[in-house]
Amino acid sequence: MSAASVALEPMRLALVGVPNCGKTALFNRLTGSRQKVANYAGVTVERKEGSFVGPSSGQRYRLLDLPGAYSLTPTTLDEAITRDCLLGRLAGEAPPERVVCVVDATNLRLNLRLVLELRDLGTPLLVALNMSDLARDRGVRLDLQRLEQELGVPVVETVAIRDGGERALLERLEALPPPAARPAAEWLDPTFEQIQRTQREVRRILHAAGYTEPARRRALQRLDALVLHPVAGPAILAALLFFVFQAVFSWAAVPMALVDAGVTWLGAALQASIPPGALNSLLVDGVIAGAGSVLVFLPQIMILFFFILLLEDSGYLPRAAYLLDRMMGSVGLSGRAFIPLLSSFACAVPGIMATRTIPNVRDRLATIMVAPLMTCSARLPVYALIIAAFIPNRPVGAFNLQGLVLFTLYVAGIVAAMLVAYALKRTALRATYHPLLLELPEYKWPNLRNLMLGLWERLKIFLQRVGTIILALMIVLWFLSSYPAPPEGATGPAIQHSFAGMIGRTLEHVFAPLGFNWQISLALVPGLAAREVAVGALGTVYSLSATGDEVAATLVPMIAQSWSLATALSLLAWYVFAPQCLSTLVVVKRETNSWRYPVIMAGYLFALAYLAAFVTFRVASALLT
Amino acid sequence: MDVGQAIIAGLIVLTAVVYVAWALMPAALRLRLAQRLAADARRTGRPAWLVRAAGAIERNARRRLGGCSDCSAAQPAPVPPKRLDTD
Repeated sequence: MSAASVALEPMRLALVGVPNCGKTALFNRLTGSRQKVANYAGVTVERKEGSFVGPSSGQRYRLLDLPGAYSLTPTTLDEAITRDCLLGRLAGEAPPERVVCVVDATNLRLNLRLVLELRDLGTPLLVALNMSDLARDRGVRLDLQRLEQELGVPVVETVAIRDGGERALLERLEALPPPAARPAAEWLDPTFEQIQRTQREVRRILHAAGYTEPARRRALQRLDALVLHPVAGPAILAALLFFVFQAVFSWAAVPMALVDAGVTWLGAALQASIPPGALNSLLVDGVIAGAGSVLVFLPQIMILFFFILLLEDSGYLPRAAYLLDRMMGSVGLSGRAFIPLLSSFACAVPGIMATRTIPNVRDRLATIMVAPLMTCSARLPVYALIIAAFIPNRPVGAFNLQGLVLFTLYVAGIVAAMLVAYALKRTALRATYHPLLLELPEYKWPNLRNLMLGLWERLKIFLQRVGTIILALMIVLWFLSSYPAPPEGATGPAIQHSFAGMIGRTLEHVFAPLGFNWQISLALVPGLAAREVAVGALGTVYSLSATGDEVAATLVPMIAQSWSLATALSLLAWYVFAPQCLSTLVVVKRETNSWRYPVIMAGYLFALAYLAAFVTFRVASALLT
Repeated sequence: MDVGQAIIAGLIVLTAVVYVAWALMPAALRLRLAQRLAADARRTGRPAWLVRAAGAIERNARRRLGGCSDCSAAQPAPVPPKRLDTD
């Protein structure tokens, strides 16, 4: 093998560090990726891979971003991935040839134990002193050369969130000697005495390097005193969440009207330009009425994610976890469950994967089982559709009634999750309470680039879903709703005689006690693939059910005319528990390595959804007649 | 014209059915099918575009977990560490 061909072989490089030290930000900076970053620990729970080319040598690097770990002795699943990857214990994955240990310059005491353990592994190591600008601002003093001497490995300053903040790292990386061929390192978990010795060594090195702890600004101390106050803290948290849900409705009105107008215009243009026939119906009733009715909710989803990303980047979320620890503890959940449950507001799938940061198996299982009760973003179009059709858009004091109802639905999901967790932790998943140990990150002004990238990613994900699985399902549903053609002399819309009509009428027997008509019953089926598909399915089914002038009308007025208020409330109650999401069930199977838990989850969610919708429909029918 | 529209609509529906089946099938089965498709395409004599397309399908199948694009980067779940607290 020639030297040139060796240089073309990608070098395996791993990014390691304690949680929330900026590994993923550095990974994104080096590889040009857009992996999720946030200002709290536990964002990365699996290894992520990217590549880049060394600017001077032309050497290709295969870069692994590993989950945060405080040491090579794991207590959680995500830390185990890091250790196993570094030691070459992952099947089909060779150990890295070089390691970059990212350390938080503002908190070196916590970071250096891992550096010393990595150094002992013998893999060529480079230390990236990240957030060095922040450390300097806070008055941290450090003799970099002395630190390098004491550690015996190169140390370089980086600012992962700034353009060019990785330049010095790349220069030193390229200058590292090629790794020597050697057998894989053996690693034995250290004894208590060995850990104590390492901690003493950390203190000695920091003292020798003249390291001074950063001074905390008084304003931030005061802010924490307020935000973490036992009375003011929860009040601030409630006010913040309340504001977010108000904004989701009031700020989205204009952009939603614009998207709606665009979708309606496109439908009318297609209707006018293609002669009546199968293709015309497919495009107008299937694609535009189906996928278009989901697309209308894009502004609301973007506004919700704007606030979530803002809170993530600011450092507020771990403080919210601290505030809610007592409440979580009272139902038997670990405080560490907060971040996975919060992630579930976006989608239950990453939320369930984030439970890898929970060390106790029973706590982890309980969190997995309740994660789907958090209101994921896919439910938002369903809620927004029904609220827009049935809840008047009028002020209630300083608030908007529609926003209040949406807030109530989110709270209902949280309360349901707490009650289920309470029941689980008192019965099948009984475990002792583990107090929350959480590192509170420093407050930061949200990074505009991160915010925009995060929103862009959400936009892409949503549009990709609408353009792929939702669109495809709408086309299939259009076919099922259009064929077979009605028999000669049949009256009423043709859809009633179609496959979809037959399926809907069969399902109606099951869901009639909840007040659901055959169209709603049918829409629940494609909703198994993704919950928001139910909105598109209603769009297609109602578009094909309509006749004459009604064809041009959008979904909101159609369902407002067809459903009773009791039915609408019943469907909202159903969706608080909504068991239909195949991806969630699949990921539960994968994370628990058993079919038992997804089966139990689907069963209990279906039972709760049915019960809640039944009670809501009966009570609402009695009160409203 | 009606027949032409019906043929185009039929092809679109067929494509959608294949995509839905592909997207919603279990990840392991999808990966096996994609690998088989890529291996078949790599046999000599196949057009280059087919080899490239099959390779892209295989890469996509490796990345995807299920019907949810949020979790497209998901890797297999790790083996629990030995010292997990199990009460």
